[in-house]
Amino acid sequence: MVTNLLDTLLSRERIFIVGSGGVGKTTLSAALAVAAAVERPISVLVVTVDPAKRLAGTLGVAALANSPRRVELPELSPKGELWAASVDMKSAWDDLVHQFSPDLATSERILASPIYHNLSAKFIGSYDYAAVQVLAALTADDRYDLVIVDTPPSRNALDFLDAPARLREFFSSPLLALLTLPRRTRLFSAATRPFYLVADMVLGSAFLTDVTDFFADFAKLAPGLVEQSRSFSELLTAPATGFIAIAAPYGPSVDEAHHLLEALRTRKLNALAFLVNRSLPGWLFTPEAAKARIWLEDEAPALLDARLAQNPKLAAAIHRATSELAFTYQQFANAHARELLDALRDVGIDLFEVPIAEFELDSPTALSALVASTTMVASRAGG
Amino acid sequence: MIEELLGRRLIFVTGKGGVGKSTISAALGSLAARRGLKVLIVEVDGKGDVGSMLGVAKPSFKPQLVAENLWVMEMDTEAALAEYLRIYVKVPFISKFPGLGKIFDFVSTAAPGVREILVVGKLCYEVRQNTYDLIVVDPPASGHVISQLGVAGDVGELIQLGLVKNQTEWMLEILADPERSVALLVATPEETPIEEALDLAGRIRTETPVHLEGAVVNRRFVGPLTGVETDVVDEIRNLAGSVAGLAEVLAASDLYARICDRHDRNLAFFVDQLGSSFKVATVGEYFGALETPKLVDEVAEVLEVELW
Repeated sequence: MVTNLLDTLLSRERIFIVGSGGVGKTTLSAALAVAAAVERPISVLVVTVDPAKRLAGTLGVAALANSPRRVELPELSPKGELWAASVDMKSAWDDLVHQFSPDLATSERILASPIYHNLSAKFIGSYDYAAVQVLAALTADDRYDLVIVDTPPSRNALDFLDAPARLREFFSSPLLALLTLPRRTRLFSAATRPFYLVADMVLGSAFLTDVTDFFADFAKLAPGLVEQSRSFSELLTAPATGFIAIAAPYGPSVDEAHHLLEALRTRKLNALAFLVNRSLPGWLFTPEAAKARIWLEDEAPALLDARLAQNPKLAAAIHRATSELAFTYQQFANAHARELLDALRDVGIDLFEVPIAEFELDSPTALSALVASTTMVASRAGG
Repeated sequence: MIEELLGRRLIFVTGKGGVGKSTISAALGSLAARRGLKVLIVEVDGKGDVGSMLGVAKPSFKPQLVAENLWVMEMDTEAALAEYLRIYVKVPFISKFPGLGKIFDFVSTAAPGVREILVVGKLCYEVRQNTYDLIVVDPPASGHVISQLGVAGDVGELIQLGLVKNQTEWMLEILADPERSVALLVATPEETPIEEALDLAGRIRTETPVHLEGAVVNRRFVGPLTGVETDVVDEIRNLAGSVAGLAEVLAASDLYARICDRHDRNLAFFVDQLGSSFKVATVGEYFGALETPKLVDEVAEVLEVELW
């Protein structure tokens, strides 16, 4: 029942959707947000923390930005309203620099630095921090009754959630202090001298000066950034925050699912539900059907040959049809999520099965239909 | 032709997580090795997928031989730095200073491009060394690969002096030469992965010097009963009333066919967006039915037929 899934969602104010790459996080985040806004008289915000910004297309809006935009759902006559936002890294960083610089001169120096320009626009890691800061603001906004966050793809599904801690580690590192020493001191410090000698040779002293000057300014943002990342970390473990994990049914998914749940638990994050996406309908996989598959391979060709004896040209077609049907069925049976569902049945969270889509998931209506066809397999309470 | 693709020196297998990049990298590498080329597969994201597919649980920075003509290594920025210093900065005493790697590592988490340039520098160095005929790179997911492929140009702008400045020039020469370096895009035929692949294709073309050669659409459902004479299909359907379980088998096949149609439409959209001259190969969905060494062999065979 879709009601169960909505109840699970609405038991919290903030929901983070987690899972490894390719399992359908973005699509399901959008789908859950659409369903919640359609079915309940509440204000729902969906935020995608995915650099690829694919959410906009799915929701049928032109573009998304850091500030939420209203998504109209005229065909669905929603009881509530839907808003959507996406993290734009460059403007998020610019805002942070303005917000946390101690004075105008510092912010102007940072914004003009070519190092900053490259760091904020391109390089690994900086995206997560920008996203954390944008989310901290959005998820604390009480204009929305429910905020659903689509977390970024990464090899470790929870990398992103560790970004606040990594940011604090960066600013508290003694190495940062060493690197931002005044230039004279830095050359005479036994700890950094070899580094500077080699770095000078390799990177050139001009770049090195640019880097260290930039970090000297950047370090001034630390109090603000650290404070905000700390409150975000608190928000992640708050009782009003929940996590929904997504898995796809085939591949090495049982181990991954257990690993993900374990990772949520060790971080003291509230795992609410597991959604098994692209699931095949269980009624297809009966013992009779398994026998019919064998029959198709062993007996059907001869039987069909006899029935269609008047047309010998069909012999090859008969052989192909029966073997392909049997093969396809066997592949489907292998792909059935039963193993994954059984493994997750007793882990103490709500378990849902989202059917594999037979239609394009390219409109709010299609997304809403997908949620409507989701079924509950097990509940936290057991059974 | 496949000879043309495998005749490159450096192939970057790009795409979002979960689309099977590692499988495609491993298959492409073993295909090239089987055809007699000396191949090095470089795993950049440290996940160990390519390694384990080829029978090495944890690849090291030093390439390991996994099959005839086929080596696997894992990128490690600290080891790459040590190697770089040993080769270019001939100050053995300083490069052995114990804290140096740590400080560089710290700088590289924050200073733009230091980590990326070490990775790309190592790849280009191997191209120049001519130890291998072909280097297949399995880079980290989507967004990150853009900063890696574009790094030589970016760092060239940022750094005006020093050894690295001189090196970005020959690195750019290798990366921007479509005869030597190409990117392959891997996607799955689901709606959002297709959208993201198109986005990535645009970014590779505009933000990096590397030529985008074509795409592999992986995990595509290929339809049963397509093109089979209707007489035969009808006759099988007629039997569903008398053979228990056959109705379910047919229903599964029909569901499968509807998903195939959806995949075909997504694929057509993808090809349409990228232009008709863009090369696209497709690989079927295996539903986890094959264990990895077998899967890699199977996909390699498919690629041998499918690749342009």
